[in-house]
Amino acid sequence: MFVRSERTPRSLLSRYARGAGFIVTIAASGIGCGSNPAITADTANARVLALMECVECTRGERAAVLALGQSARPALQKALSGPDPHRLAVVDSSLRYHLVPAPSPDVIRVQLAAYRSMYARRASNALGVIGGPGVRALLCRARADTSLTALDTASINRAISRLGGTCP
Amino acid sequence: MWKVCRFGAAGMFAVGALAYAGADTVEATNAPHDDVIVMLDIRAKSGGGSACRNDVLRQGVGGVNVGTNALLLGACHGAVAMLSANHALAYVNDPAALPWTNAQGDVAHITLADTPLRVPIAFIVRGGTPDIATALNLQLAKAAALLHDSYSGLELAGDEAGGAILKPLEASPPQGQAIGNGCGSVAAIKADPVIYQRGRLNVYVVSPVNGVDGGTAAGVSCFAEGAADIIFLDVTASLDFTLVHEIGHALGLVRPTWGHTDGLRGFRQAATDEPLNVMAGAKELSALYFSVSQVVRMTMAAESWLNQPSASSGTTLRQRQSAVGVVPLIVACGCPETVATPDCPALRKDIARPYPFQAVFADVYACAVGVEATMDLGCSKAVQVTAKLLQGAQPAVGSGKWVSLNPEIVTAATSEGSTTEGVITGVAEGVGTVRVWGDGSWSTMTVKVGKCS
Repeated sequence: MFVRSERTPRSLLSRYARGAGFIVTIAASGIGCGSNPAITADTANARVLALMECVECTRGERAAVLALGQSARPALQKALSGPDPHRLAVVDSSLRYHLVPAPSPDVIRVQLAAYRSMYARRASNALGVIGGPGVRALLCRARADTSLTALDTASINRAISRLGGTCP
Repeated sequence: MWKVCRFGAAGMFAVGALAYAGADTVEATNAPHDDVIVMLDIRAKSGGGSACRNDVLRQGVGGVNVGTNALLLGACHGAVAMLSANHALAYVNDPAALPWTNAQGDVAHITLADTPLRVPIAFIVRGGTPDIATALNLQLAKAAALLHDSYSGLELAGDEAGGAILKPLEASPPQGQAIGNGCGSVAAIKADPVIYQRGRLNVYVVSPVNGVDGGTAAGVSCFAEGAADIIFLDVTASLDFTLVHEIGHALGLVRPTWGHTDGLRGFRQAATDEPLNVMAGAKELSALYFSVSQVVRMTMAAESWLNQPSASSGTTLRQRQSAVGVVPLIVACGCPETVATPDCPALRKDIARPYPFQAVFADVYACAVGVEATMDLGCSKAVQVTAKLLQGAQPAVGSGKWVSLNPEIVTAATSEGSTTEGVITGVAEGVGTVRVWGDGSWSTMTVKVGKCS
């Protein structure tokens, strides 16, 4: 049996919950505070990926990312611009699987945009909670991306508002 | 709309009729050219004696060769399940209806239903745009294809007679308000017969869909809220298989781990390690299949919406379609994924597929919830209650959910940041029921609320 410690956020959360208490753990890790040096980039990337791609997100994926505090920021910043090229390519090809005729380019475009939106909205939401220096400017730059949908932009706007500001 | 690709069951090895000299056979009397999967509980020779062999899987066209001489059942459980793409799942577990003798060459004749089991579905859209319609059509096509290619014997339709699925209803602003953004709106939705109808899966296409912890979800089933027929779907921020994933939950794929299969034994992943089963909960890029056991559960398990009363007459969808040959037998299934029951295979049971098995998580997932059976509570009083999540006698992990079935008497909420604690509050004098969930398994608390001053 494999132990998927960093590939299963719920495993981590379960340990937190079994220990001193999940809320305490989140507080100690410092939402909105500095980076936690014990958190590796791999850990942060794995947790952020789990949040970006969960369906119902019942395994505490969001809480696991928020618990990282500023350590999550690089991975979230990357996620803000969408899935990595490998994942986009796999989804792109899988959209044709099972279906005859294959979906039109327009359908593919709409569905890939929906996939990117999962990332943009969840990443902006988490960044809006984590905050920290420069996050608002980061969100403002992301908002300028013309490929975003109106709902994505609205999500980024909510995160900016949460941080108490507007874009210059 | 797309048609289903007919190149064979998704992710399945191409297998013709198997040949074993002298073995018994199972034949589909009315579908001689259909690809079928057959699952058998039989008694067969073993060493110098015999043994019960359960959940034996075979594939073929128009029937299968059992691969052995199925003997008189004796004390063994006997059953034949036949799965096919175009007919509802057939299941026989009456020993008197099974032909097995100690002689070779017995033939079990299975008469399939005339049609798949029709699962009515309707869509209610808030804030419809052309892109939403495009994405929704794709999700629907994917759902139909995956159900077909997994030999589920289920067909999404507009009604139980197989009518076409209607164009989505565009919700008016008041209706949109009632619909809300998640399962907290179940009561308001059910109060409006224009946007909610019993006897069909009601899919609300909104954005965002509220997640469980302040985030967003691609989709959710309101199964835990006692409304398996209500699904929320955000087609603007989801992958193309989210609808069929939520349909899986509605049809009883809820445990362990809320029905999510990533990390469970027996399920497949891509070479690049993304899960491939429709019911994976995260990191899935390409949903390829429902397993054989998932198909059996969706149709036959007690948890499935198909087996819950869904008409004013109190009948279930399967009972109403029994006229076309659907036998509405309901079975109890096991938890976790390794546990079988006499009429329900272990969740991990499946045919061979040309993909590697996925890595298995180390967690012990909850299959039972321990909580006080009854509680007396003062009106306007709130108490925190702790549930024990268990798998057998072992402490287990899982995400909890506390749901009141009588919110006019007692409310229930999951404590923030906890998987096992809930807050229960008396609202009005009376007796209410709270359902305490842990990873898709649940227990019930009866809460007696005292007189309000």
